[in-house]
Amino acid sequence: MTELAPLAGIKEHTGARIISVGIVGAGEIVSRIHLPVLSACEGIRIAYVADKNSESAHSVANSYKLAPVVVANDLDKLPQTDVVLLAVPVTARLPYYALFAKRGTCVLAEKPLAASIADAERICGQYPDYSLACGFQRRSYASVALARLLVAENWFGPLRSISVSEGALTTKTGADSRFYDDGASGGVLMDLGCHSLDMAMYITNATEAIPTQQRFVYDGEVDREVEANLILRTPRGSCELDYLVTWLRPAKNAIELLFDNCSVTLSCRPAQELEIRGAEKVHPASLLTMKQAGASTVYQAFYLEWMAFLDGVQSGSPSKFSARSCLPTIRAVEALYRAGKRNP
Amino acid sequence: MKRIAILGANGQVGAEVSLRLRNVEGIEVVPIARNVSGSAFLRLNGMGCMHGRITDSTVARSLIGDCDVVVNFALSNTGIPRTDRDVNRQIIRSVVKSAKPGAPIVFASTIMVYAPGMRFWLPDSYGLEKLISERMFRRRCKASHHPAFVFRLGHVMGDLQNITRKIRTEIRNGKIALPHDGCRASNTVFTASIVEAIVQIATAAPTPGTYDLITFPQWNWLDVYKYYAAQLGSPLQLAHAEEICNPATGLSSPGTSMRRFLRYLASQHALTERLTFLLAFLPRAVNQRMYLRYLQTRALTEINALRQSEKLEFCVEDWRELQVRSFGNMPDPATLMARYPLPVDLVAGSDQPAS
Repeated sequence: MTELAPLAGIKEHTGARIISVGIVGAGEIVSRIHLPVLSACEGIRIAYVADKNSESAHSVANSYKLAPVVVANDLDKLPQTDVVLLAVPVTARLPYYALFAKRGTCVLAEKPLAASIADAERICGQYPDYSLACGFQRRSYASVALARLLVAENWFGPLRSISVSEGALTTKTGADSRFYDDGASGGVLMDLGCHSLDMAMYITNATEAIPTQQRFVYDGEVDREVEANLILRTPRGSCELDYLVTWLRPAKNAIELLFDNCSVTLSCRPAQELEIRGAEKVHPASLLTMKQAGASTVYQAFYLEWMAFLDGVQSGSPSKFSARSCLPTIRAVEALYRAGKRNP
Repeated sequence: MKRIAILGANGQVGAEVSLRLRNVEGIEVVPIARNVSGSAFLRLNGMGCMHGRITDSTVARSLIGDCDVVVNFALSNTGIPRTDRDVNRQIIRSVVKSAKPGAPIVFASTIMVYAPGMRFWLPDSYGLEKLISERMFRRRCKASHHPAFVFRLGHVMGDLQNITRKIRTEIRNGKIALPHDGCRASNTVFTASIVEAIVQIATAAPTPGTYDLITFPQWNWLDVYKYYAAQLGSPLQLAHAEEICNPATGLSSPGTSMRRFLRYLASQHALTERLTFLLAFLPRAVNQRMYLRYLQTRALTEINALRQSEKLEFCVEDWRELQVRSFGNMPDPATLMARYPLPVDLVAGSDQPAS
């Protein structure tokens, strides 16, 4: 493990040290999300945009007036920076992790961190906790922060079960349909479902998710729908998780937390409010909000993710996005896939 | 003994001015309200009030016909502009017609006639209405030989005024954010200064005219907050610039004009729709660049909203400073507030909500 010197001055952006950021991967998530967000952050200098595809690297870099870097096999060509955003497909990441660990570069990796829990644990072992983060940006949603708080503080009594329903009849794949066609995204569970699974685990502070029943719909090698029951192990005991993620039909796109006398619902999308209904569900829902709890838009969510990561790097303490804190989610995804393969 | 009629005595300013005038030697204050409900507060505080519709000149004569000075704080504010305009003009007509011959009349106007919140002179409807009323008032007073005083009031400070309650609450609650570090003129006037001006009219016959009733020399906002902090015995905690919400944040980087333009477009749906059609005639690279600029703009806007949500809003308006036409020499507000005090129990309980 390489020891990294904590960076000074990230928090005091004005007049403080400028943090250089390298971007590896020039896909949609970079050009549409990370670059707009990073260009709005103070105290950051984007050093380069790298991709193995020369056209992508040049197109994205030129659009933001940045330096393009085309990487083939010689990764050492990548300029040295303080921080790197790693946003290449998960199957291509291992050499990058090794390189940046050796250089002592802090890494924010797009989710999922790795294709398997074994890889993820090995990668985590190469970095200090604060210097490697995984992009489960939904943890910064205001609604998620509030839900986590009310579960942790037992506002409505013990949490009995959770229901997650996310997805849509997805025919529109955007510009990167290739990504979905060849299974590079890992299917609906790895690409989309891991987010809502992480939300459920983060809200409950679960350390483990054990599948008890599952149904996978495969399209060739690509899973298009997953329906499962899991048991979440949390510090307060166990609770059931009903889980659905799909690209084949409309879903509620919500997470419902069930307590003895009420249910609390939050959207899978960025929001500030939670809906609270009595157990009878007769009366209209009440809304619960907490001022300044977190993000209520996608860009705000990514911004808070960056800020938390950079603050963690500065202080030498892991943020809530630290890769190690994401391991239970990665483990759960793998457990589900394993169970799905066993019993397709 | 000079009798001073206060029209609109049930209003915020009228009530406090009436109460402060009550114990001035040589002055008999006559608070006038339309109905007994309106005057309840004053009556319960020991003030004898008169009641009636000042718009009716027969009634008006019985209310103000024997007063040596008439001060008009009355204002129709129904929210129906035509009704308010008609009523407010009728009040002026009736007051000027019914006042004792030669009695000075004071018309309470506002500094909003200067549009202090704007960079150029364009008053809001309240300011414009007051401006037109001022002209009508002066014309009618001139025709009927009444000395006419127009008082353009700034933010009125006083123990019964909402703005004072707000300031005290802010000081108690913690940090205060003031534009320009509080060094800009506040355009404030204290109720005691209004009382002093009225007393001078009643006793010293100053030159009639239009005056800006603003503390002179002007107090800046820091002076005002320090004054109330000292009164409360609380420290004044001023927010630092980086803690204050700044709408201009993030606009100074390269691409500002483009982002402003795109932000404007984002709010103009009809225009955007048509420009989208034209965009298709431009090269793909230009389209791509514009789209990414749009995303950048959106990200910046949303992130700024998040950054600003943690920051403090300014406690007071960032208005421009006014050239004050002051009402002669007056002691400073602190001296005047002590000279014309309110009953002690009103001061103590004025800004605490009822339990």
